[in-house]
Amino acid sequence: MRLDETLSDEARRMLAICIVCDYCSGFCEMFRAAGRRPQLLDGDITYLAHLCHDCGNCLEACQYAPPHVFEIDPPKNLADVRSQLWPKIWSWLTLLFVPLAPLMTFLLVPSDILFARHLGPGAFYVVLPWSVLSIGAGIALMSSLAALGFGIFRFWRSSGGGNPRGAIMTALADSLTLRNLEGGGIACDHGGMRRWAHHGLVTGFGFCFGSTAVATVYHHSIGLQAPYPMTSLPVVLGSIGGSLMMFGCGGLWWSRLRRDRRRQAQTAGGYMLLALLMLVSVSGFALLIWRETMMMGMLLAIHFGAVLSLFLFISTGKLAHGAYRAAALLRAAMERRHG
Amino acid sequence: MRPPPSKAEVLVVGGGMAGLCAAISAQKAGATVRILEASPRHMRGGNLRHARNIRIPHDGISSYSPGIYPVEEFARELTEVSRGDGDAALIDMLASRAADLGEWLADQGVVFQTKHIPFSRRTAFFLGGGKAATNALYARIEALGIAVSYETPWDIDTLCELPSAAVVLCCGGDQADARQRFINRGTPFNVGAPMEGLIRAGAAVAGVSGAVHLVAVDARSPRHDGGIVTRIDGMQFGMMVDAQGRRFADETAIVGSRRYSIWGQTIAALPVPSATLVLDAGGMAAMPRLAFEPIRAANLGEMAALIEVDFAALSCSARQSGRVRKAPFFAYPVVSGLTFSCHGLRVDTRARVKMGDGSVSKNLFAAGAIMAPAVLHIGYLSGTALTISAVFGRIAGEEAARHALG
Repeated sequence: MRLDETLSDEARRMLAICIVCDYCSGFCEMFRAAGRRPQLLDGDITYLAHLCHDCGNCLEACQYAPPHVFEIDPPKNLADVRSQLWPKIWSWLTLLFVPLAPLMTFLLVPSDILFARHLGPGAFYVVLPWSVLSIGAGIALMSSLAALGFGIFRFWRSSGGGNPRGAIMTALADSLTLRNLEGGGIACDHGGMRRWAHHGLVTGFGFCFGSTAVATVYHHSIGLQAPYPMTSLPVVLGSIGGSLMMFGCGGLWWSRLRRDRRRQAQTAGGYMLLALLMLVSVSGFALLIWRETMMMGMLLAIHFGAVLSLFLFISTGKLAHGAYRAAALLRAAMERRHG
Repeated sequence: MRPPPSKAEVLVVGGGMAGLCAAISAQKAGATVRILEASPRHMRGGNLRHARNIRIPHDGISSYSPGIYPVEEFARELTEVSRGDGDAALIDMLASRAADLGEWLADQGVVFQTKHIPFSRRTAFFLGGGKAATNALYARIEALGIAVSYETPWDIDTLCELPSAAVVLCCGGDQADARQRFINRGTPFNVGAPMEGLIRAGAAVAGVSGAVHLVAVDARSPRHDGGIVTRIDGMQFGMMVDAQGRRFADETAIVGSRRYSIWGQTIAALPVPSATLVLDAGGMAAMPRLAFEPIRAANLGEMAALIEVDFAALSCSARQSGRVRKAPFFAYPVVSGLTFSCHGLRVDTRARVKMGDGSVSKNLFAAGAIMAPAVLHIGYLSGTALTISAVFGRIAGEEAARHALG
């Protein structure tokens, strides 16, 4: 990925002032890492951009924040650099699967099948064959993961390469606890809410992933086909996961809205991802509730479309931030180890 | 100009470190308080907004600074830098009352940084710098219900119709006065009008009119408010030339923490008070990161044209220095930048303004940069301006409240 020149020049100008000032060194790893990389090459800038957790403490504390003539706004500037990785147009195109899957289902599946009640094992697959579901989701997930892996590989190389062994546990802890959202001692802009909401969202996502994994085992190993009973492991895990995700999406949306209003910022990518995650959870619950009615077919198609989009969002949308942030934290932990 | 609002027993003029401490203390002592702040909200806080650390003595282990820094040592240093011209009673008062400053500021919500900072036995660092501390103190002011009027400068001509029982002047020195010929690194609102008005009205003078503390700054800095990042450093890696392209100092001899101010004074004393730091490829590689990008030139001839000096003089300087040889060449334009002025009012140990005839005002108090020259004269001790502001701000607030409440 090549950085847009205007963006990287602006980031370089800003970070030079941040490095010389250094007042924010206590807030987070981004400022300390910037001090370790005074050359500010393009690879350095991308790395620093992904280290920023967008807490906003530095902006609040900045003697040079707009309207000062130096116009120092690290959260916005670094978010602009990051969002180059998930251009809005790609996010919008990916989101097309959300209406496309139900539309295709409506057009291709005969309506006496689509709008009939289906009960018992294999009920879902009468409407959308297991092969369509698994191949569609599989292709989306695998291609997205491959693209993300390639991107992470390039990111790692451009930010200095090297073997991160020995720093992995630290980086894992930094990623999971979101330590850099603590603000270094001054509570940051809705930092508490954002942290808990994010934890909820990630944990919920994990539960849903676990639900899918268990269901896959059921399907292939013991020949148990979906839909599963309400008290079965896949349904319980999925319900807990979906609830946590809904709580997380709500919290993050709320804090993002308040923050954007205050900073007069536009962060479309974040809202798109939150909306998509919300749609996945809500459509999942709707499918669970109405799976024994004639609505099941269309609800399944809606849920399937949302999941397809979400898988693609791993590389084309803001969902990629998780991998890049983790890689940046790994890089920072490595630098701290080796000085 | 808006007339000053009148419904407070103590009126604090200026919302920087001194004013905020004065307002909090006066309110805690039972008085109603209003702050008049000349700046708009986003520039509030005076020079506290640009600060990083504050000098605080501590006889024992402190949670904010390592080691110990006894009150006596602080007092001795104050006497030294003021070269005996500082008021001994004020120095003693400052040193002893500064001892609990860290705890007091922390109680007001100021957060100190204890990790990822240079070792400093004498100073405590604000987490996030002075603007974070400013925000914390204003949040405290707001929580205490103290009214703040922004964009409300105060003129000394209204002194005769005093709106409050006591007035505390915390509106800084005159570093932003239009007559100052240097780039002002600090707030543009310290224009010095109340101070000058009082001096005209017969107040006793501290420090020396026109005396200022200077450091070397990038000539491309804004006229006001450029703060810490405008400083130029690394002269020892290249050569400093004047407006003619001639060297005027031994660059490698000026080192240590006083190098910034030595360069500031040296440049100010030049016939044309501006200079250029010229570096070659090797020198540039050794330079610390500076805020502005350097001027670049492929050869010395091009550089001479870019910085508008005589080529023969520049190449002669380059040969003489021995450090400017290998292309490409880099340059930073340098002038003197003003950190603070050393001209102000005299006060007694209760922060009451002293008059030239030896009398002391009963209801007019002063704290901060406006009276700092009474302590330091024309001397400089890093991090001490804030200590003076906080200590005398607290004293002035308490005394003003006591006077106002009878």
